[in-house]
Amino acid sequence: MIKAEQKPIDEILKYLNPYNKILLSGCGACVTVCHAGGEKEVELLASGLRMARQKIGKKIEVLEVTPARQCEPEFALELSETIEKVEAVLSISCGVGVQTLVRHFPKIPIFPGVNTSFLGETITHGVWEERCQACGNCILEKTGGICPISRCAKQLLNGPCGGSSKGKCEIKKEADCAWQLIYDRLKTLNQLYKLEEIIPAKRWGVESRDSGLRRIVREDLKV
Amino acid sequence: MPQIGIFIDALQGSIPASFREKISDYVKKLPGIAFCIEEENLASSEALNRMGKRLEAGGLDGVVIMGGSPKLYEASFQKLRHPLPFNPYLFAVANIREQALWMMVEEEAALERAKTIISKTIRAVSNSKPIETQSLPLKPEVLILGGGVTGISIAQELAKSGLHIFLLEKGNHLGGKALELHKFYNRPLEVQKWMDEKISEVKNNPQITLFTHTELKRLDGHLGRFQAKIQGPDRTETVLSVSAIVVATGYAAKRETKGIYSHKRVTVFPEMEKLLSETKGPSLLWDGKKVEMVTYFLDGVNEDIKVDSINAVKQALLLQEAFQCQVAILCKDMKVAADGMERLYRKAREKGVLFFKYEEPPKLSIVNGQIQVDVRDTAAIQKKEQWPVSILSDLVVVGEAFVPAPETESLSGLLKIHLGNRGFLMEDNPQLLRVRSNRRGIFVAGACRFPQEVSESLIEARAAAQEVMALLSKGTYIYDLAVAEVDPKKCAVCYTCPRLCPHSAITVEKYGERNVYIISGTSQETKWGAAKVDPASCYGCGICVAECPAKAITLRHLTDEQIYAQMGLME
Amino acid sequence: MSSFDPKIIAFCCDQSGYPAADMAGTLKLKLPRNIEIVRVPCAGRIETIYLLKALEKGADGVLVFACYEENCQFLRGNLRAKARLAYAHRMLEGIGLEKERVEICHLATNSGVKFVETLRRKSEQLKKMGPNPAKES
Repeated sequence: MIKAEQKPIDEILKYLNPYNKILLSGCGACVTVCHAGGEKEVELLASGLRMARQKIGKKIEVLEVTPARQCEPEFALELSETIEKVEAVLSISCGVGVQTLVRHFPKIPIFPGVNTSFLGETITHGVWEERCQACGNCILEKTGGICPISRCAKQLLNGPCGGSSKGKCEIKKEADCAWQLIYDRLKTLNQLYKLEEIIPAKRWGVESRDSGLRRIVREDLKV
Repeated sequence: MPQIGIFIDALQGSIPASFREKISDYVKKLPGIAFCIEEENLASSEALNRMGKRLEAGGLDGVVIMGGSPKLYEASFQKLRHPLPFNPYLFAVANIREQALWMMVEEEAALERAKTIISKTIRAVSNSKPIETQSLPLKPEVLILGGGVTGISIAQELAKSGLHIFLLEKGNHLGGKALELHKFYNRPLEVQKWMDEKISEVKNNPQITLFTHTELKRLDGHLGRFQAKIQGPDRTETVLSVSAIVVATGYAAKRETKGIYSHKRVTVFPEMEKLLSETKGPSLLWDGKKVEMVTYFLDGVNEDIKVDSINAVKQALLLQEAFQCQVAILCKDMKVAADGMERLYRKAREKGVLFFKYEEPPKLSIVNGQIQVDVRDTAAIQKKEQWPVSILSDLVVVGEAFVPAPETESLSGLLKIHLGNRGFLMEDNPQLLRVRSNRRGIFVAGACRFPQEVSESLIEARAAAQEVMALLSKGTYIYDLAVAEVDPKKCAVCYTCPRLCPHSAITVEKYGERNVYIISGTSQETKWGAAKVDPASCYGCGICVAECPAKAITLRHLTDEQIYAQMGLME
Repeated sequence: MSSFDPKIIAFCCDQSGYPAADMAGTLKLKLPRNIEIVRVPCAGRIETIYLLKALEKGADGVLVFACYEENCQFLRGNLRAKARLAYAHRMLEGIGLEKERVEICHLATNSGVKFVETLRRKSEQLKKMGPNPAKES
């Protein structure tokens, strides 16, 4: 799922400096699960913002809301009436949710309250790690199910590089070398022969975001 | 406006009349007060009876007692379940004695403080809702994991009380590590014979269903309705439904084999036991040669010196008495904290067993096919110059490292019970609840908690059996619904609460509709996954409530509103 | 400034903090005037928002009285409380408030003296710090 981390509150305070009444909107999906933007975080951030502004003698009113999933238009539109009452919106959903609001409420400033970090998995409670970069053409079949695009610092398709040392990455010393993991995994599966196949360079400009905005259109689903 | 009844408790005069009068004047002016009654000693049965009659009249939404610490009253109202005709959760106590009268220098300040406490308490109780009691039927069926001396003894005890026992052993025979012993240290019995009798009794007991070569594969459910999937020989699977589970899977021993430890004249306790039990003649032979000098080296490999101390002293006496061996025991510390061990130790000294206390580990070397043990004795009379002693030994007996049984970790995962620091299973509370695990209905006993001697395991077995009986004997488990509750509509299924619940009372379950819980197995139409707190397993600590990122969990007896009321923040 | 009497909200875990408060009373130890005692079943029940709301709604300081580490009736309630304090501290630093306004104190049922001394010390410390500038006016 999408993993995010709350922005430092002083940065958020700078965005909100000109406003005295805002809506703070969380999201009940991914950011709730990674404890960055659910109802609890909304409550905490709202309290922090109010205190910070009280302290400098410039009170702020913060309305709080947490739609189930901010990236769906219907959920976003449910906020219409509330948004009319405020001067700006602070959204602590992921970057997608922020933009859903922007699309539906073009006249009001909308600020992000979290940094959308990556697509990742939970390692243990409170620890998340990147697993996918949404590159647009999945090669996990060739690499034993371990993604070198998200897990190799150099995104090598035919690794490892010379910097792989004792199973660790030379760029980020604490990280496992993705190609070591790939090798170990293929060995376990008795599929080392897969490494003999050269994985061709990815067509970043066609499948991935280098060619600009990507879009999925399912004609069969359109209404 | 909620109607609140007030009882002012003088606590036998420890709240003075003048103070009570002022309190009573203050209270009577508050809105929504149905009555305000003073009692000299509210905890007395006469006062409780009067209180009962007053409450029977009805018309109240809450009751506030003004007196001492709530802990005083909770003990008599809830724990003793004094049959007051009023829901115990609609009572609140304003602690005006300990936390106002006694904590303030001037009476004026104390009165102010008491007033604040009173108004907060009234506000809190106005927000309270009655909490009902539920009961859970408990079938008299128990699963015991581990067919060692602990498991067997628990099975025997429980079978006597009429429970049905499923006894699971992963190996193909019962008995466990106790079978390695020749004799007990504290009674004149042959362990083997004693165990044989126990095992055959278990095998022939119709109350006990025995599964050997069988392991637990999966566990679902909670207290009273555990579903244990077990796998026997030939991968046959069976599902047992039991009310409670006792884990008695014992420990494992790891022999050190590096360097001199692999020498044929270095051995370990179980082998020594075997030798002692097999030798009939007047002299002891090892590797074809007569054994005259035996040295025990404790503390070297194994840090759990208790079991080794017991066995070393026990074996030393046997060696000296039956086989005329000279025995030396080298140790950092000798642990005699077991029933009768002090006496046994004294006897060993009197019989001429030599004890050497060392700080630096003794050196073991090979001299003419024997093992020479060099040790500096720190307990010698000449304190300044430690005595260097060399012991030429025919046999050196060392301990084995005691480690958790290999399946302990996976078992703790399956059962959702905690592991302690060294990887052994952990009790819920070392002082109070030694054989209870962190999960209600699951008990841990014997050497799966820490390495122990048979006599200790027998005590634990009895304790565990008593705990199980205490839980199951009534046939039902009655509990207050003063627990955490998940609103499945708000649950984001993030798994925070199941991970953090200290009592493993929360699982992610299927709900029939968004907010209708369907007991697993009763319907195919289950589709909505959300966290569910098992109310019979919840201890009401509130950790999950505070952690839930979706604010989907409430603690029924202490809601946000009630906490804010106590903080004096809700106007 | 001398008339400033800091308001402290003291969360007390029912296993140690609350009995310690009772013990303090029984020993007739005198408490600073402006203390609100909040009783919770376990320090693990104390949500981060309570710590912030306390300050926002008028407290000058917050104290959490919890069991000693590794001695929690509920295994990790006290550690969770400590971690939530760390979160609150980060937030307070971000908004420029002294993080010392929120503190945790580990004690046992019989620590009546420690209970009172901690509150007295906190009260003195807050007097020097001055009123919480972020509380609602």
